[in-house]
Amino acid sequence: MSELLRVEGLHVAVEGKEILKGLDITINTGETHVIMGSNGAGKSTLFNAIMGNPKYVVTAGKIFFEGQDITEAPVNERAKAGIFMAFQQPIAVQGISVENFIRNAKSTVSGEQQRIMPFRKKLHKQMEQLRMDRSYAERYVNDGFSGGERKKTEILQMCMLEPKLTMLDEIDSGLDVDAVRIVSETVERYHNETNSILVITHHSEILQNLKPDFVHVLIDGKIVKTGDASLIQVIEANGYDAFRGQA
Amino acid sequence: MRKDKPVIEYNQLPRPTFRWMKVNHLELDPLAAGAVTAYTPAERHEGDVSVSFYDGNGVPDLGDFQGANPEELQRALTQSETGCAVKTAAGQTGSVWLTYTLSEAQPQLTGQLTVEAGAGSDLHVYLLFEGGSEQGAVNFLTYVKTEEKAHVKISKVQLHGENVRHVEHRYADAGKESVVDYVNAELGGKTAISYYKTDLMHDESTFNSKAMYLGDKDQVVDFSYWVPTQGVKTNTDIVTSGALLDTSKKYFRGTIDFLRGGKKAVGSESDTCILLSPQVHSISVPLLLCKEDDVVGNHASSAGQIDKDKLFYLMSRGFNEAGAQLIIVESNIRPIIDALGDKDLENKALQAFREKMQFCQKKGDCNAKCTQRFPHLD
Amino acid sequence: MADERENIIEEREKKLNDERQKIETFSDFGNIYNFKNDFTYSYKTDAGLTPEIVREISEKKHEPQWMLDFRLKSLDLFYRMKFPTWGPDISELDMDNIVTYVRPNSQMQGKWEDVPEDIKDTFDRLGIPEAEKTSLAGVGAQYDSEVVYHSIQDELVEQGVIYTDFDTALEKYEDVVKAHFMKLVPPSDHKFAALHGAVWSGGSFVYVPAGVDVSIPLQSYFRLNAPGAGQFEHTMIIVEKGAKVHFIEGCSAPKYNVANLHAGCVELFVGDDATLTYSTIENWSKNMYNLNTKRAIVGKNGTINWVTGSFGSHTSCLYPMSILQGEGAHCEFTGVTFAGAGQYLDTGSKVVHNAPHTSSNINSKSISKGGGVSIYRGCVVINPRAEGAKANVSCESLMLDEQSQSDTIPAIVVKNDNIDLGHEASIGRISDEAIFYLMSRGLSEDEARAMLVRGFVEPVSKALPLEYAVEMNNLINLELKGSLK
Repeated sequence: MSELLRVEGLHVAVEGKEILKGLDITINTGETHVIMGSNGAGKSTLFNAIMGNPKYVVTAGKIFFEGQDITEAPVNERAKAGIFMAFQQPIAVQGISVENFIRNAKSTVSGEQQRIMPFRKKLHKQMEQLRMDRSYAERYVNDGFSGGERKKTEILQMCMLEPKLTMLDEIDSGLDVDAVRIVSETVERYHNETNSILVITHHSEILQNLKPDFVHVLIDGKIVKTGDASLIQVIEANGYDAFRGQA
Repeated sequence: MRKDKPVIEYNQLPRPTFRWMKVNHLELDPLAAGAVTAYTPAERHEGDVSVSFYDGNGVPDLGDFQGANPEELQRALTQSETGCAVKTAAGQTGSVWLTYTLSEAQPQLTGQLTVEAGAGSDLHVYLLFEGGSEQGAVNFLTYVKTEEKAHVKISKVQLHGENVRHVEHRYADAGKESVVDYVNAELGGKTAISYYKTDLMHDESTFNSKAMYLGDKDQVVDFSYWVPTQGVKTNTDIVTSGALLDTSKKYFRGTIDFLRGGKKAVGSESDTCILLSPQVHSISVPLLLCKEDDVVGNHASSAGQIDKDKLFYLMSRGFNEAGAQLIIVESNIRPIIDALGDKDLENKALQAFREKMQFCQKKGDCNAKCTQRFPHLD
Repeated sequence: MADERENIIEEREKKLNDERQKIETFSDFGNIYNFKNDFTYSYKTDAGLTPEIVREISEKKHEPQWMLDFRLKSLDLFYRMKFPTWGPDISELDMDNIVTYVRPNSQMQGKWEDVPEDIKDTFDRLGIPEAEKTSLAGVGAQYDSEVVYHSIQDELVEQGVIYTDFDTALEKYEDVVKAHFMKLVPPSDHKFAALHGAVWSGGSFVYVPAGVDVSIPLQSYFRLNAPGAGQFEHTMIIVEKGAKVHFIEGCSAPKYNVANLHAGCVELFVGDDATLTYSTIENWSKNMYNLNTKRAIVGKNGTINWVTGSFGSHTSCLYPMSILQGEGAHCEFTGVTFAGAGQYLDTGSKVVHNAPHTSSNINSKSISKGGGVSIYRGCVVINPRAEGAKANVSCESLMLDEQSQSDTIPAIVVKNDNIDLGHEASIGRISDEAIFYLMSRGLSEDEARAMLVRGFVEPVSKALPLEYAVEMNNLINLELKGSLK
């Protein structure tokens, strides 16, 4: 297995406030990692920093993707390199249909102009798997969507853009039991030895399908503990307080 | 339009629009100016605040501030019958109550009030205007200045008799990180005209205004706001809410003027009007002027009858139509009355409101009775 | 089908792009509308405005006496009336330097082959003859002051539909014209309406008899080629009971260094149960003062739909007005205004509710960039008779940089209680969050911005016929080009 993402000694500040305080993580191709931690620990900050959100300022440390230093790369270059983040709160884009949006993005990311008919066929197939009505393809991106519909649209984008690294930021929040199952099954179906998944979640339901290889506990801007899936039960039983001393 | 009849124009819109709509200003007959007689309002205060009364002009240079009408402003500046200066020194907190009462002995009143809050101080001014007379008129100028991090709140209840023309010119210069709060209940007078300009030229200054009204008979309520913003991260929030009965008219002219350089400014204005009689007029001219891209500006206005679904819901709980109407209109304006911040003033405003809604014909302190009839209201 | 439409739009855009690139290689203006033809004409008046000039125009056009009298009366009003006290500064517009009448070097023709080569070339480049073949039921083309081409499908003529230039209408249907001419927009309305009454020439006349549904659009294209000239065309459309028609006007002109003036007048009479859609893509050159007056009166259960895209002109004052006169009449307004460098576009919509249960829905979008000024100025008046009226206004403004200006100046007057009125407006720029979201899907910042701007104006392009949606997208791309680093 080859190294896909390596984060070294990452410090990140948001509006002048330091959130990540020296974080290290390495993800190899084909692996599934889960990051758990209490609210405000810096989980979403890590994702935004990896994706390259300009609001999240890297004050020290480096991010490598497939061996390339991407710490300074603009967000769209990272997307083209194969990084995808499913947003916790996806933005509504008025006037642009879901289909048109994803087709544009796919053309840009893949560098190949997507022809309408074959693209649509593939899109509809993915929508079926996500149990999304086809009419969503013609609606404006996330405009007037419920929380669950937005999350499904994020996963739909993942399926179509085919990233190497998928980061799911609380993809299960606001979803009902059935939707969690559909989403996690779709992610698992997409996941294979050529791509990696990085998950933030507060709930263990979604992990039953995703079968993480590694679980990291993030406390106060640092990873304090890394283990296998069995760590989830420990957290469920004892909470995060047990790990605080190790920060 | 007959040109031979002299008229006086109030509340000129900073950026005029189509003439035929007659919304650029309010046109009224001129009032004959009465004799100048010295007057002192009833006053009390609490906390570390200095209150002094003066004659003549105590208001500093107002720059290009024109007031509701330039001549009337000039009169308030130079021929004032009453002047009051309220000040808090740096870091201090205080409250002042002022009551201006018209009567046959004092049918007209031209007055000034200067409100100055030192750095970090917190000053609350409660204004009550009441009383009336045949040819009643109030021409009032309020000047507000806040130093850095100061907070000034002016709560005003206007309960004049039905022949009074009440005009208030109010100018505020908000200092860095200071807050200017206005809460208004315009319930009296034949014509109630407010022209409020607030300069947010300094960083992180804030202007909040809440105003409620209930027009009846041939009353005219005219609100004008003009807020130029040039400081960074300023905040403007203007809320006007009320209802119109009989043949009354409401004008709302709000202008948020985002000037270049006023980055990260947020401004919103809203004007909600419930129409309770077929012949009322509701006029709304909410302007957003914008020369700066890094701002968020919103305005919303709505007018309409009482929501039929709400009415049905309340009547299904046993209220008669009039009672249900009162609840709905009151629920709209109640947050503004409650924000006045003084129980006595709040009760006066609420009572005047209910009297006008004709649920309480008897004058006097009937708040207790009202709450018996509508226990959910308090 | 929506998908086919998308496909075609994409292809057309590409084609237009190629065309533009070709043109850009020999013109440094980068604007396909900007090519100039040599200025030739058969007759023109002197610059300025005198009763003699007005008599001359009328005489050249062999008009009846009542029209000459009407012109002279209007001119008198023009002299006496004041300029508006609000709106953009038009002091640079010197009426003494505007040539009010330029007759092109051609008679009105019914076949493109007969239109002189240089004029035909202009319309060829604008794609008009091709559009006529593919998507229009009738076409009119005006060059400077007069219409040079007019045609209409035979089957519409058989159904009694009239679509002709205004001079022909005045000659053949004098009674109808006399009964309607400047009745909706009287010369006393404002100074430029008076000017129009005095010096109008050209324009189109449309009559759709009761019950006829003209399913394919009619289009008039206005081209002002002469420098320092004014265009004062008069458009009159009468849609009888239950009839339906879509009329499109396109406008363009090359840029000269002197001010040109457009003071056209559009009068629309929409009968009971009738529907008229009036679409405009305005791309006058940036030396144009576009002081146009458009007004519709709508009968019982009739509908007026306005779709407008304003991109051109140096200065615009344009507020299409809908008078909802019959019970249940409806007005729909969808407009986008894009003000770039040096432009002052004061546009909006006026609605007057005069009858019970009338309804209006106004949706306006404006964009300003590069120091451009775009202003939404509108009004809704609900009169006492209009019980049960509903009005909804939504204005959104987008600032693309910090040098520009965007103002919203709405006025709402409600004079009865049984109404429902909502008004919303917002101003701001494209949010950083939205850009980040799009960029996280691989788009560059420019692409992300362009996509968000396209999405912003989507409601308008959706309301336009395909060809015009393409043209509008193209104009937006053109406007955005260079502004985005």
